[in-house]
Amino acid sequence: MNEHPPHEHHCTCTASAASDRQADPWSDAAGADPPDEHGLLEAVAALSQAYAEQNTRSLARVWTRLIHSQNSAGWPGDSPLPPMAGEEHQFMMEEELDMSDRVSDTPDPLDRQLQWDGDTPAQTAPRHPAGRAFTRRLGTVVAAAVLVVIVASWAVIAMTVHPGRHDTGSLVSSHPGATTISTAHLQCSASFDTQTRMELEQPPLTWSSQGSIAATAPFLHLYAAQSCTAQTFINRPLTPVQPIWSPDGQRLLLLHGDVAEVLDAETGHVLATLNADPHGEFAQAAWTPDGQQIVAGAAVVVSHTTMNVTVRVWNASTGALVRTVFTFDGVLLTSFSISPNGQYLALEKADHQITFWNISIGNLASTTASTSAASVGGNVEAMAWSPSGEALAIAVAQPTTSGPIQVWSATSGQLVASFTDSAPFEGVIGGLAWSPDSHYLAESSTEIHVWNVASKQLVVAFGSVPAKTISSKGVTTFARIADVAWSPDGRSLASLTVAYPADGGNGQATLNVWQLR
Amino acid sequence: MPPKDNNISQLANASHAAYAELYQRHAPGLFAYAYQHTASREEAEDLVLEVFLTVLQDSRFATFDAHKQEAWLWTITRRKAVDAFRRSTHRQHVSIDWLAEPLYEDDRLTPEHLSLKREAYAQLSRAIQALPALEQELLRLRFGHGLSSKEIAAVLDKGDGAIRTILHRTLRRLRALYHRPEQGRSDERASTTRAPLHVHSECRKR
Repeated sequence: MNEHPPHEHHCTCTASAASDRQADPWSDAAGADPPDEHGLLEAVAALSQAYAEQNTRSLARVWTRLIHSQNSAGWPGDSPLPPMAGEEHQFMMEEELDMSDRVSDTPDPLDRQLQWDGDTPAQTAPRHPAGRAFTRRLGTVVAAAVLVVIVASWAVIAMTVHPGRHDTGSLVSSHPGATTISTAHLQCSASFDTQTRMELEQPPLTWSSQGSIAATAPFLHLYAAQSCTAQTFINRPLTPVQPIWSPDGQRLLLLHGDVAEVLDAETGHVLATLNADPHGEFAQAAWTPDGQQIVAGAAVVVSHTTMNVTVRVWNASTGALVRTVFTFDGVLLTSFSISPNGQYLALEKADHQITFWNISIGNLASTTASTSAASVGGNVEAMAWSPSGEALAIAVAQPTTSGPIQVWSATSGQLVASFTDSAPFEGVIGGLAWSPDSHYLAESSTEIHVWNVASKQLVVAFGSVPAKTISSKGVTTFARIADVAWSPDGRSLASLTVAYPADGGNGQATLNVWQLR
Repeated sequence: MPPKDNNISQLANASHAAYAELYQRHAPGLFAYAYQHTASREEAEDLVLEVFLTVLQDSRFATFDAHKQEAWLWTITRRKAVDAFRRSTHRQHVSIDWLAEPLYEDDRLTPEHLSLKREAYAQLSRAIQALPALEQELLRLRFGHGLSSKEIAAVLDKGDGAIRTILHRTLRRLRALYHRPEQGRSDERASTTRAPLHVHSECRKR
């Protein structure tokens, strides 16, 4: 590069190297003097233009594929998207740069909150202290520019059987108990077509004390667990519902938006109706062990990560409201969970502490220490309450493994156990469920894993499905095991597999019942 | 599923229009997130397709209010990102190449001005790449994906206010680098180049 100012050879210029009146090299008109802010923005935009165009094409390609998948639904065959609002963004950019003058030069308190040293290149610390360990584990797998993978899922509560029948006992016992599991055999299967990809049903699979299995995908399907025979149901709802068996298995609570119905499990007749607030929807519910009352949380989503939840108790026979127990604002979406016996609930807000609440007493039971909480709301893949309803197992998302699983005590707020699945899953975790005797945890993704909780050993892995297959005709199909549910005697495990084509169209759900020995 | 009646095309058009709007509003942010968490552009496109197919095929989705729809879209996207990451054989995430000096041809400009301009772009590109990783992310999401600060906040899982603050600071920092190349640490790195960023005023070809 020529070190001499060009004007020596070509131009007549005043030599003023540090002059404030600099012509903007970004300007097309030599000698003109536009505001340099504008030029800078345009320059960055120019540098990223090729990339931006690639992204626009990506979005257009996806839209085209979406259109084609919906041609059978009558969508117009050829419909490009209207142009994106690029102009809006241009204006916003300038506005932002104007605002920047008002931002002081003193160190930003947010820097400390974000734990980020602005002067050190390529060093970003995650927002949450626990996340630091997370990042270390990711290690070399992730390049500097990639941030922590945050996974949120609607809570998948594994429906184990009514805890009322069992002694609370010790949570993590050293004795394996009467049943020692080491093998699994398929007992029976049933399949049905499903439209849904089973992302956010909760829970998709529940096993009643009377030997019936309810599968929602998203419509209700009932099966006899012994034989996987479909059971008819007079009032089988034709809309997506969330089913919750009563402790004695004689009634079925169905959550459907702002209405919940108690049905006779045999006949399907509606016995009682519960109504949520006009603006809320039933998110979760549980029966009290005596089957007299129903605890339900109704939620209103207020942002893409939070919701407001109201928890009430209802008379299960009449549907009358007994009392309003709690109102929570700003609950992280995937963090809210009611124990199956209706005794406790857990939730997390933006402060990353899990709070456990005693529903019958109506007060705060415990809080986890913020440094040890697993940022549940952001990273939870699945949650399962122990049969006693006093401990909560949470599967925390990490990209390369499927653990760790943390077990928190609702009464003390302490971390009771923590372990990592030694056989990592290929996909995201769908099902998580405690055995009725609390000795085992079953996990499912593209395979089913059963753990001995006390020894933290994987005792059996089975039921593997291919995460992704491509047929000879080039059709890509995804599959995974969306949920698992234990039998009342802890000797069997039901699983619900969903397989669906990548480019749209109906999929297939398969119920499997496995004998465990 | 659309009912079998005469209005099927009307309904289809209506649902199509509604989903087009939904796609317009959310796909850019979701794609940016997907791209950040998958190994290739194709994977990211597949992921976004999966997300929208998932909500399309769920009859409840159309009944949700805007907040809940947004919440579902993001929740599903995050889950599928973990899914895709674990399924993929390319576990290594490649850093994204988003800066490219534009090919610049303009007959109105002198060759000297052109080369100065090219050098200025190169300097700016280097200056950006010398920024902390998070600030580069912000610029990439802002300029390369056209995301608002709110969308960037969703992609990076940070607060909207924090994003704005950092963005302002980043642009100010760049502006300072560009305006006063003698100052600052980053400028020391850039000072190995010899051409000045600024051109003397009143420089006219004879």
